[in-house]
Amino acid sequence: MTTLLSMSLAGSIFILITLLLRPVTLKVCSGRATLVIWSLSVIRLLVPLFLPLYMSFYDRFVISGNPYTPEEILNSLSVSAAELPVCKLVIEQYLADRINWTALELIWLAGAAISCGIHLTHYYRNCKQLSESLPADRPYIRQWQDAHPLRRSYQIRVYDRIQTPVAYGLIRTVILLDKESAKADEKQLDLILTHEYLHIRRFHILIKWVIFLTCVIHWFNPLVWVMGYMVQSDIEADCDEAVIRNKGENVRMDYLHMLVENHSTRQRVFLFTAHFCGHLEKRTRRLINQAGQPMAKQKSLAIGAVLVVCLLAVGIQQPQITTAYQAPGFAENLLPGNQTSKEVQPGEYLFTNQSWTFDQGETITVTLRHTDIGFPVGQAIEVGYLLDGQQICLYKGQNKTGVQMSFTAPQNGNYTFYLCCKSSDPIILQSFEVG
Amino acid sequence: MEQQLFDAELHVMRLLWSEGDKSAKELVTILRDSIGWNKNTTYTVIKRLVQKGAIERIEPGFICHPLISEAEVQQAELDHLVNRMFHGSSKLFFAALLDRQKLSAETKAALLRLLDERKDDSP
Repeated sequence: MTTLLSMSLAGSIFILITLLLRPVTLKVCSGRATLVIWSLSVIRLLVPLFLPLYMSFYDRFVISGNPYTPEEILNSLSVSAAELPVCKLVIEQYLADRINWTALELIWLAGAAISCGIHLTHYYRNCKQLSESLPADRPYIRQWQDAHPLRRSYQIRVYDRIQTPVAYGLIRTVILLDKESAKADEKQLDLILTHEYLHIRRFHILIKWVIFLTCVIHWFNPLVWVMGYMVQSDIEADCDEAVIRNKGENVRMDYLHMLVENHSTRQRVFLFTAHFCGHLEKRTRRLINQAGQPMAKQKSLAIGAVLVVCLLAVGIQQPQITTAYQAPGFAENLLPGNQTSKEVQPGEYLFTNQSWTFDQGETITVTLRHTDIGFPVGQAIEVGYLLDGQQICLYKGQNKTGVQMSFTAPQNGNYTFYLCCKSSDPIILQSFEVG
Repeated sequence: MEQQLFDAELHVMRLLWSEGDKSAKELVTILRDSIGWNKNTTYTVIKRLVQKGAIERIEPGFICHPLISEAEVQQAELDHLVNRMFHGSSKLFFAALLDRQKLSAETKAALLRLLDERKDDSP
């Protein structure tokens, strides 16, 4: 869950930067360039890549994204035999926490399932209705299709219950014409069919499915839904530019007029379909702004915009949602074997090689003794315990030879104790007792 | 039957008018081969036609029998068009029709003959 939240936060940074730059990118970048910029946000949201701020024992779980078995983790580290029991205990506790579904994870699962269910039901109903279309039997349309082959097969059909042309279907792709478009003159029909054909050729329907998946996984993040809406607009803009590149600059005004004439506010929005007349205002503004702009200039501006977004977003520190288990260092056995003392280095954490089970309200006494190395006020140490993934500090201070503390167990559970050397010199630990 | 028929429904009706009563199974096969409809789509359209009163379902075998003729549907569509676009005025409709295309001498004569026949029929 913490991984998902981290990904959502990181992705949100990308989305916010892209939205802030949008007034500029709409003017200077092509639709394709803005789609590339959006893809950075989608990658950030879907791929659990993390730039570690520091290398630690527990970061290895986070970077891989997959839970390792204790044996796999231990094999990848150079851990001595004495340290094995403690490491195993800590890893098992960490993995046990991952397996236990918290309330938060169940809420996420429910939200994702509901979001997915609603949209897929809507999609299924739409597809069922659209399947009642009839083949386009106009000879010009058949000739046009023969002249525009694709590696995947696609159909051109006519449906009387839509107001604007639509392309849909990931596997069985269909260009669906409304009745008016199917009867349009050849020049207009060529532009319409080219637009929908380019949607299929550029895998825009696949992109919409990826966006849908992103929105389902990050259903709790409103910025992701905003991104989804913006991407739909940019997909249409990308196709518009491709049509004009394909047919020549001289069709720009005719194409614009046709978009406006075919616009219908009554058109229901079908999910995962590419709409001919969606997002009309933004598209017309873009087509007008781009008139006369050379392709080379558009390309260089697009590259510039992508670089700016990358630098700004990556430059912001990777948000880490940490748990108590992300403590640096790795566990060692306290006074293993027949050792009479153990040197604890500055900043080093030591965990007990066993845990104690206490009942709520039980009084526990922890006694620590270390060598007096001659500092006037002693050495700084921290003593505490781990319980249910939480790290609780019992004592933090300076002393010359050791400390004894008593506390009342706040709840039933297995308590693992730790010691951390906060001094600038190593602590020579003599004994650590729990009773 | 008050409701208009969509193109998909008209396609099924034309099939029944031209080829007579057919079972739902036969319609599925014909429509799959001719226009690529799957079984569910054909059954959905048939079900809607039954609900609209355009088709009667006869058991056993789910035989589809048209309850309305092509002429009745043409009349209903025409009435709908005249009411919607010409404020119910047949005169306006014909004026628009005559403006739209040049009529040959034969067509003009045929139309006049039809009008005369109707004049005789009307009270």
